[in-house]
Amino acid sequence: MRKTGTGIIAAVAGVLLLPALAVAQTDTPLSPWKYYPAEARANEGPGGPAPVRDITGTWLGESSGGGVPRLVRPESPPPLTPLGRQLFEQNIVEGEDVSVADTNDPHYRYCDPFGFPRNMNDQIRSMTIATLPNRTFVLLKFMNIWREIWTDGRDLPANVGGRGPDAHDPTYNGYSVGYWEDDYTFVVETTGAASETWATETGYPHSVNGVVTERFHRSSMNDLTVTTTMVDPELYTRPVEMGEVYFRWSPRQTFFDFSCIPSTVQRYLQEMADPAGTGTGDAP
Amino acid sequence: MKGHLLAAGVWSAGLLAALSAPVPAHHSNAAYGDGVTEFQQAKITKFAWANPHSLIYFDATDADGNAVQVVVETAAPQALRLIGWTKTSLMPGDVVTLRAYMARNGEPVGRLNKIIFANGTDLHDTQLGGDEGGKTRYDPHGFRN
Repeated sequence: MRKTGTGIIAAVAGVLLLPALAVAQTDTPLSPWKYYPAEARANEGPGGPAPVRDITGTWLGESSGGGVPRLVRPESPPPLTPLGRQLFEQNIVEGEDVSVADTNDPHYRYCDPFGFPRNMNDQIRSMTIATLPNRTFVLLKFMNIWREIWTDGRDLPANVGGRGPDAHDPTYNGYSVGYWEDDYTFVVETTGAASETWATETGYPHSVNGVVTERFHRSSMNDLTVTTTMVDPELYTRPVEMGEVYFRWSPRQTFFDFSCIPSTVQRYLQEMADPAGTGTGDAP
Repeated sequence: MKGHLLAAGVWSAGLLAALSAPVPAHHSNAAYGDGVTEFQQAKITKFAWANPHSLIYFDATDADGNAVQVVVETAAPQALRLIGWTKTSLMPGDVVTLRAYMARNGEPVGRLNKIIFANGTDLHDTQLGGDEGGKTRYDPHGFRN
């Protein structure tokens, strides 16, 4: 019996250690400053139960190499009002048949910030969540963005983008408040996001008065899902399902930064994308 | 430097499209043709390890024997790192074989497929780096996830 038990323990230990050994054999020595996608991918499974009311730490998103499921995109087509459709049709989205030279995406053409909510449904790559007693910060690696979410019980501002001394200026990330819906779900509500940005990579518009609700649900030690809904009656006839974004715990808690540098964007457009043109012609 | 621009790598786009699964691209490659052009003895003049996409500048010789200066784009550094690239993967003066999808409008710009070094090692693009051609992705480890 003792030998059998020892064997089982050894087998279990072997299963648990194999991924780590595989990483160690392929990447030596490991730097605490670097990100190793193989190590992240080896961290399979739930990793144990989710801690109570805790989403703090660094999380890997899609295109991180960490084995994170692809996100669920916003519903399509969007339920637009006439004004929403008018704004949507002004946005020329880069895609299969639309080149960089053709798009008017303010991020790709000018390095403008994605703004919220697009920065939570496009790219991302990874994020770090930091928690203070009265605020939670969401730090997005893509474009080195930080969002500030107040958890001190305040209400969202009532007058954003209006006139008068009580008005609040729109901001790229809007105004956010957060609370725990249950021990594993942190809810964030945001309004006042600057309307000159797109809500999605696919050119959905949003107004400054829209209210976006995000549910950060931690289902295990390693798994975090953010589900987003947007209510914006000026532009949409009903709440819009903005999709789900998946994250996995980053074992090393590191990732690359990813900035948009205006000068390199201009070089890219002038020397590469604009000369490449719009996809017309027969060459090569 | 005597290089050759070979258009022999223009493959059957229809066949290859059938072999490759459709994957929505983040950045459009609509400007580029469906066939791969191979530049032999391409001499790197500059490597811009930059966002939104890294740029590779090189000198080559076209099919008529004319010297041409070409620039091709590849992925952002953050994506290239996942498949083995570094900021110093290419240095001015390196002589390589370079395959790219060139602009349909005839301008000397394109999107990288892959680079083959003299020692046989290679570096791929992410979005169009597949060895199958036909604008297929290169993602041997599933690093897109």
